[in-house]
Formats: sequence, structure tokens, C-alpha cells
Amino acid sequence: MIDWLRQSFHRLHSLFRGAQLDLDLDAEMAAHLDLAIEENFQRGMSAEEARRHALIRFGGTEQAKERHRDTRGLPALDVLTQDLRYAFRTLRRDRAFALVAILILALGIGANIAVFSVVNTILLRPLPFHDPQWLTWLAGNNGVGGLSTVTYQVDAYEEFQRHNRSFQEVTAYVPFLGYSDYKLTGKGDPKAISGVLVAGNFFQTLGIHPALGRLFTPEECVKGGSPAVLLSYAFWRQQFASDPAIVGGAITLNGRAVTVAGVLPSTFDFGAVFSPGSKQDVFAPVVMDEIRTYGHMLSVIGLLKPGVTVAQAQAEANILFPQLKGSDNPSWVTDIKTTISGLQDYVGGKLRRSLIVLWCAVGLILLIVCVNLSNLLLTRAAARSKEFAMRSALGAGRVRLVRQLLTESLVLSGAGALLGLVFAFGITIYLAHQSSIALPLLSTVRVDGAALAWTLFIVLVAAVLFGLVPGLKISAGSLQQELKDSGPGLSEGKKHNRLRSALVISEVALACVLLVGAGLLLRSFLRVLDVDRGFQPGQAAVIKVDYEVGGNPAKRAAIIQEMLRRVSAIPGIEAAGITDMLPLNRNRSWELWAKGSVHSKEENLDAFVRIVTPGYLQTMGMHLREGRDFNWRDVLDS
Amino acid sequence: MAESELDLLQGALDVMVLQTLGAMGSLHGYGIARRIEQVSGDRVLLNQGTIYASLVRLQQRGLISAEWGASTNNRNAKFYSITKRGRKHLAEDVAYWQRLSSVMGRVLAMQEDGGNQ
Repeated sequence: MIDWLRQSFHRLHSLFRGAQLDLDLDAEMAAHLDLAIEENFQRGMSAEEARRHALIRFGGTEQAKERHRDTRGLPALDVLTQDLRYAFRTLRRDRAFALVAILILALGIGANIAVFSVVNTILLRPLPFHDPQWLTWLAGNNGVGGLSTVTYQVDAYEEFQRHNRSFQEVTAYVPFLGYSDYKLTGKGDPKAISGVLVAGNFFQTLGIHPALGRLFTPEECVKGGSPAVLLSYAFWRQQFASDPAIVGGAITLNGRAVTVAGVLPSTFDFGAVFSPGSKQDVFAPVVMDEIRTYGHMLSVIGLLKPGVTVAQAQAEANILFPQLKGSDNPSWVTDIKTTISGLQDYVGGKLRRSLIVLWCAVGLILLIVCVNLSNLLLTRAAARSKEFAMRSALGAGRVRLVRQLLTESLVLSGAGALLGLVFAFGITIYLAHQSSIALPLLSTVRVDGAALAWTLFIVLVAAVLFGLVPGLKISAGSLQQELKDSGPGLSEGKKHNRLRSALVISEVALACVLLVGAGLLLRSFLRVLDVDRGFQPGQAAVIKVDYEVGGNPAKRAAIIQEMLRRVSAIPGIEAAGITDMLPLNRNRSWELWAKGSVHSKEENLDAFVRIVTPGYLQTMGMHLREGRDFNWRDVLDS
Repeated sequence: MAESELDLLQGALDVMVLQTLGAMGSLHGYGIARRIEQVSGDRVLLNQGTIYASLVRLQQRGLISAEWGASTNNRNAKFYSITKRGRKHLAEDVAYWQRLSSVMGRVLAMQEDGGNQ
């Protein structure tokens, strides 16, 4: 061990004093030859003969020097630095080529790193919770349908929570986010803030500890208990300037004093996981008794007991649900059909296929880049074939030539990767700040260690891909052929042409695959845009308005009409209208039937209802099939 | 000489150099090479030049030391001598090589005698 260390030290040391060691060796070898010549001379040889004999016995001086250098230093490192120096010199001489190559590579590699970062964040990295592997998602109606279908009634949730044996904890939140928006008053202008109603054990189940204060007490989660909220970290920072004194104090929400129980940690981002594209300011306990009769209100999350698999939990749920108290109620029909999946699969599942397609697409782009560069290098190599012929005539082995070319391609792809990393950093930072893109966990997208490892992998693969083919090609050619092939006045040999055609063909083929794929995607996208929604939102803008009339309809009518009058008076406004709910928003239905008609219980009489003012239809670009728009004289009893 | 053959001989050459220095005291590169040639009855395996790689390797391992000095006919030459570590190492090497050569001798003899067994 000591021996090895000592030798390594000497070897490393000799790297830095190569010139001096070479001089030393030269002197030593000169002395050697002198001694040999003298001895031969004394034996009776002629001066000429003595010298010749001494040289023969010594062997090649250059080989001896080479062996000496290899032994005393680190030959691999020597060769590498030599190759690197040479590569840099060649690339500097061919600046335009190098710049183009690096730029192309940077684009290809940058796209790959950026997409990998997104894939890594959404599909690969575990969710930012305490035991992400045990967290599961429960979906009613086997996960098919809108929110109102896949959510649970309070009774079903509570019964399942009470009787299951697979889960350590079962918790829930109310996914109808608009339902729990608040008006914050007290300091300055009233402010609309968004909130989420969560079950009392929600944060415990996810393993989230408050950054300040405490979580909800059981008393705060029941009807008549004192109201409390937890603040999101971002909201606490923005609204309360990170004032720790707010914890334990009260704020006014919807005109009601509410205790601030605590502040959630900055790492917890509810929207990122459960409701991409939205941000939440406060979390309040859902009082189950208040929403018991509201129908399907709860999204349910379970924390499996250690060792219990999702399949086992599913099997239990299949048996347990139909046995629960109240399950014979027709409204339970969707709750009974429960599908359990890993929370991570639920969060990333919908995106899995598109992300993998995207991943493949950027991989394909990189492949095209490599083929492209391979071709460029080949062209360059053809121009350099004389240089290589010369080098191999001077004794450079085939391996050495390939190694040299690989070093060059490594330098290129390394430089490309560095620039690509800069691109990827830019893209990920941009993405992480796009709150309007509804991708889960997007705010946590970043270039991390895994992405760097992926980059390294890409660099190596790319370098080998586009460096090896020309390298092997060049070194395989016979010396004579190369010299003849590239002689003046001769056209290039056919062999190069064939390989280059193959590269061009594969490049075009790859590009076609991408083009067709992109075309199909674009077509689907245009189709989606073309769908007739029955309204044209292109020119419309929406403002959410909050008003307080104390339940007085006359006052409300006056406020609404005045609001519309003022808005319509703004220059550039063509039409204005008010609705209580935008299209494609929540679906709320009323049962409707004609006066006097009789219907069976099974018949679905639900109708989606929107409450609108005159002018709304025109504003939204909706067309009436028949009849006329409302006017202000239309009232129920008119 | 093929690379692999040279690699095989490297270890042997190291031992020869050590042994020569152990027996003869301080010597320069040429002296060591000649001495080995003479002792082996001029049945030469390697060019004299290869000895310098061996010398620098042994030096780096601390088995020999080197110093410039004047030769018998007043020439400047680098003189090598074995160190204490070198002597210890040599004793081990000699034992090892003797064992190896006797085993090799026997194995090769068997093949010559009973090639058809």
C-alpha cells in the first residue's frame, strides 16, 4: 500500500517536471552510449563499427525514452492531455465548425436535460411528503368521471375510515376549491384569498409539520368549535411580512374572527401536488357535519400500514365498502366502486404517457443532432484524411487515432453540454415560475444531481455516437488508399460517399418521424381548438366581483345594474354581463320538470343552471337558437 | 519485441537489476546492462535501452537510489545503488523467483516427456 502510494506520488510528481527528467535521461543515455563505444573500441573495433554496435545493442533510443516516460509518469493522463491539447488546437483552427457543432449540441442536450428535469420531478422523484411510498389515492366510480363522481360523501369516508384495516390513516380534503375562497379584511383593502378545506388529520397523514405554531385541534374540526386556519408559507410571507406574532392571533375572514393556528413549511405546496396551476393561501378544517348532506364532497387519501400493498388495500376496499352502514343508499353507488392507486401514480399518471412521448421526442432530436454531427465530422475527416495518413505513417496506432477523434468529439459534446446546461437552467427556472401551466410539482422543477448525472450520460453517449463512426472509418482505411483517395485532382472515394449517404438517410428518416409526430400532435391540438364550445371567449375578460347586500334582492339588483352600466360605459367595451358561474366551471344542477307532469324516481331530471343578466349571452358570444335575450323587465312573476 | 512479452519480462528485469546492484554495489546503467549480459553468457533477452524504464521504476518504489558521479574513465554517469528497502525486497523476490523457476522447470519438463498422456 505504502509502496503503491509512494509510486503514485512519484508518477504524479514526474508529470510536472517532465522536461527536466527528459534532459536527465538524455544525458544518462549519452553516457551509456559513450561507455559502450569506448568498450567496443578497446575490444578492437573501428570507431565506426564501435558506434554502430553500441547503437544496435542499445535498441531504439526513442522507444527507450518512450518506455521511460510511460513508466515514470501516468501515460494515460499524458495521452489524454496531449489529445486534449491537440483537439483544442484543431477546433480552434476550425472555429466555424466548432461553433456550429457546439450550438447544435447545446440545443439537443439542453432540451434533453430540461425534459429530463420535468420527467424526474413528476414521475421519478418521490413526492415531497414523509412516507410517499405508503400514500395512496382513493377514487370513487373507479376513477371515471368528473370531480363530483370520483369524490366521496362524508358518511362513506367516515365509515371507511372507521372500519378499514389496511391504512394507518385515512384523510380527505374538499377539492372544490372555489367553495372555500375567503375575503380577508382588517388591514387595508379587502383581499380575496383562496383556501382549502382539509380533514383534521390531513397534515399528520402527509407528515407535514408546521413551520410555526401547531396543526388543528380536534375541537376546531367539529361543528361549533372555534374557527382556525393554517397559513401557507408564501401567503404568510407576502401578507404578513413573515411576522411570527400573527401565530396564535386572529385574522378576519368573511367578517369572522379566525385564529391563526400556525404556518405551514415552505416546502409544502398543496397546489403543486393536488391541484396543479392553483395556489392556496389558507387551510381550514372541514367540519364534516356541515357538509354531510352536500353529496360527494371529499377527495380521500390513505396512508397504508407498512407492508400492506395497494392491491391488498384494494381487495379490502372491494369487500368492505358494500358492507358499510348506509351503503345500500343509492347515492353510494359511486363510493362503492373505489379504485386505490399510489398517490404518485395518481399525480403523475395522467401525464406519464405524454411525458414519455416528450422524452422520446427530445431523445430523437439528440439522435438527429448526433447523426448530423457524425456527418459533419465525416466530411471534416475526409478533408483531414491526409493528416491521419501522415500520422499513421509516423507510427500512430489505430487505437490512438480513434482515441484522438473520440477526444475531439468528447470536447465538442462536453462544451455543448455546458452550454446546454445553461439553456436547461433557463428553461427550468422559467417553467418553475409559470404558475399558469397546470403541471403538478412544476414549481419544484430544477436541474438537480440526477439531471447532472443524466447530462454526463448524454455527453458520453453523444460523443461515442458521433465520434466513433468517423473515427473507425478513418482508421480502417488503408494508408495507401487514403493517400491516393485524397490526392490532388482526384474525386473522393466511393466508400465515404456510401457511409455519408447512409447517415443522411437515417437523419432524414429520424426527422420524418419527428415531423409526422409533431404534425399529428398539432392536428389534434387544432382539432381541440376547433371544437364548438358554443361561446367565444377570445375577446372576453372576466372580473370576479364580491359584494355584500345582506340578502336584500332589491339592493342586489340595483348594485348589479349599476355595475353593468359603469362597465359598459368604459370606452372599448362592447357588451357586459354577469353570471354566477362561468362555462366549464363547476357543474351545479337543479331538478326541473314541467308543472303537473309526473316522473318516475329513476328518471334524471337534473339540469345545469347558470344565473345570468341581460347582455351575458352577447358578451360570451353565445347565439340563441330561438327567442330573445333577457331584459331587465323579465322577472319571475312577469 | 511484442508488448506482452516485454511486460512479462519487466518483473524479471527488475529482479536482475536489483540482484546485480545487490552483488556489485554502485553501478551505472551501462555497467548493469553489461553485467547482466556477461552473467547470462550473452544470451540477451532485451535491448540495453529497456533497462532505464526498470531503473526509474525501482527508483520510484524506493528500492534503489541514484546519484551522478564520475566513472572509472572520468565520464559523468548516473550511479545506482540498492537501498535497505531494496535488499529486503530482493530477498523476497529471489525466494519467489527460485520457487517459480523450479516449478516452471518441472512443469515444462513434464510436458516435454509425456506430451501424449
